[in-house]
Amino acid sequence: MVSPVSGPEERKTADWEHADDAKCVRASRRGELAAFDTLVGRYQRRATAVAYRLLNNRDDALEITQDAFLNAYQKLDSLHDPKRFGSWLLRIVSNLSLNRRRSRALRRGASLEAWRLDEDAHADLNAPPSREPGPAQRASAKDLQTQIAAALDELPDMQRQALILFSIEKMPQKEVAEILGCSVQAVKWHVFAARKKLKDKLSDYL
Amino acid sequence: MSKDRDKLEFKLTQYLDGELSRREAVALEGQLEADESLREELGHYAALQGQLAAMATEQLGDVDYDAQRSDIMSALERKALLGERSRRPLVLRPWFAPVAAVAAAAVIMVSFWMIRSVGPARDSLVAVAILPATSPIAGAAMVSVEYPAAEGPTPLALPEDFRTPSALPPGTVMVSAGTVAADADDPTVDFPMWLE
Repeated sequence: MVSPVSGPEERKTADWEHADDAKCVRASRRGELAAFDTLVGRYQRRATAVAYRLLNNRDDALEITQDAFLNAYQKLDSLHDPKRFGSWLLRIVSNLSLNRRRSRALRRGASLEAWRLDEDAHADLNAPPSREPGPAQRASAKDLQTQIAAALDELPDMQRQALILFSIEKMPQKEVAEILGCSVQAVKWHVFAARKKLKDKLSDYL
Repeated sequence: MSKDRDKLEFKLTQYLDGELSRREAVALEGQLEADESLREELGHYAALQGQLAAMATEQLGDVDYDAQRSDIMSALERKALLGERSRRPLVLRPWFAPVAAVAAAAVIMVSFWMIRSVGPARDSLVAVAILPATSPIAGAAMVSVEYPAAEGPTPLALPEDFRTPSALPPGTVMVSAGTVAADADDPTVDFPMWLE
């Protein structure tokens, strides 16, 4: 592990391991990279997992995670409550992931408008590839996970994010609300709407 | 699907999440006993929840988190060296204003002491005004130090516009120093130096 120590007066990463997020954030603001390194170690797995769930692509997830940490470091001063670093970081991850999804769609030359107009493309992109009862019944657990991932990909942004953060990443609804910038009640309804759509879509497999 | 059905299904998911009160849960369990299709829906939601939970444990394969962490920190070090972090507005800490005022006054007093030791007897005046960074100008802190002539201290009045420097922005540190003749009618006439 890199220990970004540039002078004898600076503390090493290990010195920050037991410090809470708020202390690490304040030290990072003073330019102590070792403190920020601790925050990276603390949140990189969750950030990568969330990005992966939102993007369904490993390389994109790794890139977004790195960008999110760099953005977070540059904008640390705009974080009003240093205790909330984790939620704030995941909000950055979510926003960057959404931007990546949109730019990916544009790169494919298939805007959302075009998706709606092009029925064939719509069918190709949105329908689970093995929706027929025969193959589906034989699907292994891994195949089912693939079906769920594909169905997740089709959900509206807020519903997908709410479901991923709450049902997969097991975050408390309050924290999800902070990340999404909405109320807890709204999170409940987004999660429910997402579950209902998945349940209806995957009813043959459940 | 009717709204009532949606509400019922919402309750099912709340039940699975353990979000219902004891009373609500008992009521729902009564409905479940009487309604087979509702039990089936509950089974679907429970199975879906199990599958989603399983995705949480699915790892991202061969991700080298140590390498990722090193990459992030290397990129940050480069950025830090280049000074790319957003600049913070200067905010004076609470203790800074009085400490700076006293220090500035002390330095200037010593200077005047030295000047007096070689020149004619004159009253000296050093005044420092600190305008807090976050409070209105009306709350400006001011420290004035009067250095008296040999015969004893003489109260010196500060110029009115010095007490209420309304044209200056918050956060300004002003130091004014000067000497005034001991017999002058208006002790404010000789203020040769303003630092802002």
